[in-house]
Amino acid sequence: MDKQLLSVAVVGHANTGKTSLIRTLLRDASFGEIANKAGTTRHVEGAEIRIDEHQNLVIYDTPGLEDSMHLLNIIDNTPIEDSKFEHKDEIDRLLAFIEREHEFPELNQEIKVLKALLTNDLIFYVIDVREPILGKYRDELKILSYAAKPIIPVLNFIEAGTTNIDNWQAQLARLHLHAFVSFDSVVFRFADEMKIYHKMRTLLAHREEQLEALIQQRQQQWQERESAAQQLIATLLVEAAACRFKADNDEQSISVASEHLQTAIRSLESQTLSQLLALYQFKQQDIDQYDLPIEQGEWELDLFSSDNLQEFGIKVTSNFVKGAGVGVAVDIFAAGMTLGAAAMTGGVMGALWGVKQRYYDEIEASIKGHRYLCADDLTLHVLWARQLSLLSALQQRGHASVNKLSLQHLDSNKDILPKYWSKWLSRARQHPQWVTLNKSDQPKLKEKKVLLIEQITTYLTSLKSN
Amino acid sequence: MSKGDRLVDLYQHRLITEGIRIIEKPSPSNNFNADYNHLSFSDALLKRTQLAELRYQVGPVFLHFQYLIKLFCALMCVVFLCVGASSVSHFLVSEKGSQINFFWAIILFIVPNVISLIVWVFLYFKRYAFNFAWLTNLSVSIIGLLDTFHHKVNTKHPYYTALFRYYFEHRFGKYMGKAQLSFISHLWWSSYLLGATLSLLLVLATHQVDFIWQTTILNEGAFLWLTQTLTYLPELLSINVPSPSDVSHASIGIINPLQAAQDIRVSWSNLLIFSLMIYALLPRIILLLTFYQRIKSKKKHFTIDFSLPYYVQLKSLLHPITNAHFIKDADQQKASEEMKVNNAHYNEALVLPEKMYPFAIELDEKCLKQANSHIKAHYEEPLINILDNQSQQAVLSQLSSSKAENIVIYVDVKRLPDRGWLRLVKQCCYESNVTVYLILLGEQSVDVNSSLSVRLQDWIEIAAQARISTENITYLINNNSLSDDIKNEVEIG
Repeated sequence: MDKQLLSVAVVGHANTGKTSLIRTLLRDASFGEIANKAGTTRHVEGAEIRIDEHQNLVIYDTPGLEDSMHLLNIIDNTPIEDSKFEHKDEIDRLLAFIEREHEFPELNQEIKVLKALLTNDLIFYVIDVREPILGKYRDELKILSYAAKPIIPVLNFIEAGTTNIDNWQAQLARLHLHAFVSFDSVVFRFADEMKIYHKMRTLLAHREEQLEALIQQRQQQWQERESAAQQLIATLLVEAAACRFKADNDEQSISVASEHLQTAIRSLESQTLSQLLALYQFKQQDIDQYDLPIEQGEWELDLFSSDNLQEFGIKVTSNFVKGAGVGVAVDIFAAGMTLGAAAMTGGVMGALWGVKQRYYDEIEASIKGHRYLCADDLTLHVLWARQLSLLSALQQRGHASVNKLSLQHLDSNKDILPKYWSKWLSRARQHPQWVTLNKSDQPKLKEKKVLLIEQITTYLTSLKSN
Repeated sequence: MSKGDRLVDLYQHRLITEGIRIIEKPSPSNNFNADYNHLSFSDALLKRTQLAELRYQVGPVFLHFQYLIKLFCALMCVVFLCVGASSVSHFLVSEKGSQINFFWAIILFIVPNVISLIVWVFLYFKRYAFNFAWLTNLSVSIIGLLDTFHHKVNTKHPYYTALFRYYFEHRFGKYMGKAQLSFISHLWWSSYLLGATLSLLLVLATHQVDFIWQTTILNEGAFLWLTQTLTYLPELLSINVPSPSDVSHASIGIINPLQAAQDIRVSWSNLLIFSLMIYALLPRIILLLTFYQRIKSKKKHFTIDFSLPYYVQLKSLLHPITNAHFIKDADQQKASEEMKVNNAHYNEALVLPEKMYPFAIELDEKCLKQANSHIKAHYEEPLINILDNQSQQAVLSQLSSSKAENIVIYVDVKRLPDRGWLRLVKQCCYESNVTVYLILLGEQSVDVNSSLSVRLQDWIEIAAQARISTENITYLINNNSLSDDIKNEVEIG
């Protein structure tokens, strides 16, 4: 079954960021070619954005309108008296001009643009707001108006051209173009992308359903990614906090364990980074990696921490019940001969077994004078802040951006810490078994890990919505 | 295929998809390409699973685990059946084989069953009561052993342990663990009780036994109350059960001399078998069937958590935002028109000719002021600044009427030279003897601004295409702006 297509032509003067805009909308840095010079795009190149299995949005990139003054002059002087031009209007004038395209080889690129104007549902007219307002842009808009298609002026590079936005808006209003949108294909904002689709929905009322589906799909995709990214960050924090290495009480052993700790945490961060990049469709080369400064702390068992006591209570009770269950089973085999005694013995054994499983390592380490090295609070704080800044940077990075994102220069705000930060860390540190590389024999308690990750993810979601 | 089969099939597919996730994690592989574009995400995932399964072979591994767990459960069922059967002959019937202590029978079969049910209810409704790690490790060992005995081969799937852990977690973990463990527990209890019931039937069918009751610390009233409670239901169903006087007479040492002894034996047998079946076996079987249905429903409703980062990434792979790039209107012209100039040379001491026609192209206010102040020594009229079609036509018309042999063009060095500019300059050279001078206006030296230097290079390259000699090109720095800058610096300093 053929898909229902909605097509958009992206046009504008040379070097206004047409290809950059498309790259950002497509989240695809491989689309087209970009360079800081005119005439970089020479083909009309299209790409499909998937709405669902039945609908696509097709976006066409076009060469820049580099000679609009000459083009307008010729179009305006093109005769349309021929009987085959029924309406004798501006569309006919464009058609008549296109018929004579072989006479104007110097306008070859512009003719491609005109064809794109006539064959698509909607026009994005891209403006580089950093540029001064010149009369030739009015000529360009006049040519575009001949195609009688809805036009959305896209004010591009608004971050760098803030001072000029008002002038451009006033100029566009004089040309009866009020439905413009602001965008920055380098410093990306998802809300701006949504505005483009909302404007499209307003202008193409007969395609409302299709555009509504597109808006829903893009929003869902964005939220899914954000939520997955938050899960990754939460998992990283939990695993990095849970990561610990045993060392003997001598310098060499501590130094080896410290090295292992650093490698382990950097490896965890690197894995998360790769996944975050993949989620937001960036490549490893888009980032300028900088090693996390890691300081080790020391972890000691505090059986009397409230969290530990609570868990200890649960474990003892549940192990007692399980042990008692085994005891009852023994009773059954013994046909009730020892009923009660076996259950009680089983209960005590179960409780002891649970305690041994959970705290043996720590107690043994404490007796033998071993130390457990783990990442200190400040390291985890920096790690956390770095991931949040990275996520924010990835969400605001357009796919047209050519500068590398530097982890070193990310704004890691160290002052704001979540309310339950210490509780999270302490809970994670009690469960070295949550990190595979710790090779701990302790019970996995995966559900508790999932619960903690969920709590942190919920915090991140609330942070975002605030 | 029936709807039920389809659901089972879907469950298997989803399970395999999860198995593939375990193998591929943390990120999905990009190797299973197909046309997923026309499919919804769940259908696309199903298709990918089919493709990936050809390589990973997760399905047979899961089926093998399923078989091993079934085998283990079945073996344990047989064991419990035997234990139940043997417990009757070992612990119920006295050495002489002529008496059964009814009180002991009830304690032996029904009370442990009730205690076990209470423990089960406690565990079933308590959160975190299960700690599966030790159970998983134990099961991996037992099932691994069973596997080795069964197959006598050691070649395993490379992800055998990881897949087993996942499978075990899936079957006995948060999602369906309680239902599954409850089912197994009731199954084994049912086996035990069934073995005991069958064995009891066999004993009663082949032996003539008298029913007695014995107690040291309990009084007769307690036993009477218990028996009366147990007989309540069978009496409702008109089954012959012992009367209160029969119960009193069944105390140890009292041998019933009456002719009705056989009837009393039958009534006691009825009560014992009925109690075993109705109070012990039946609840277990009902619970067994309930949890069987629960497991089926859990399997039917088993869904994959698509919010996991793995699936979000997979979604991007199967349904990328961009489906395809394609060229619609290819460029047929040769792109070799550009002339590369290695060094951006210009004439720093350019002397303008006396007779000339000057104009500006796309200058902003500041540059236009700079151009006007430069030209006023040579030309009286104000410069025409080409900004649109109208001003361009005006310049071309004046140029054509003036028959000027020298043309001076002012441009802003910061602006991007394009084909429009090139075409205009070429159009201005209406005769071969026309000489064009290009004056680039700027505010800074190109030595201090690299992007300006690149732009200057662009201008000199395009000028070369317009056949403007580098001798006729110059770069003017706005002294006012420079002095403004210096002034600012001084003020700031």
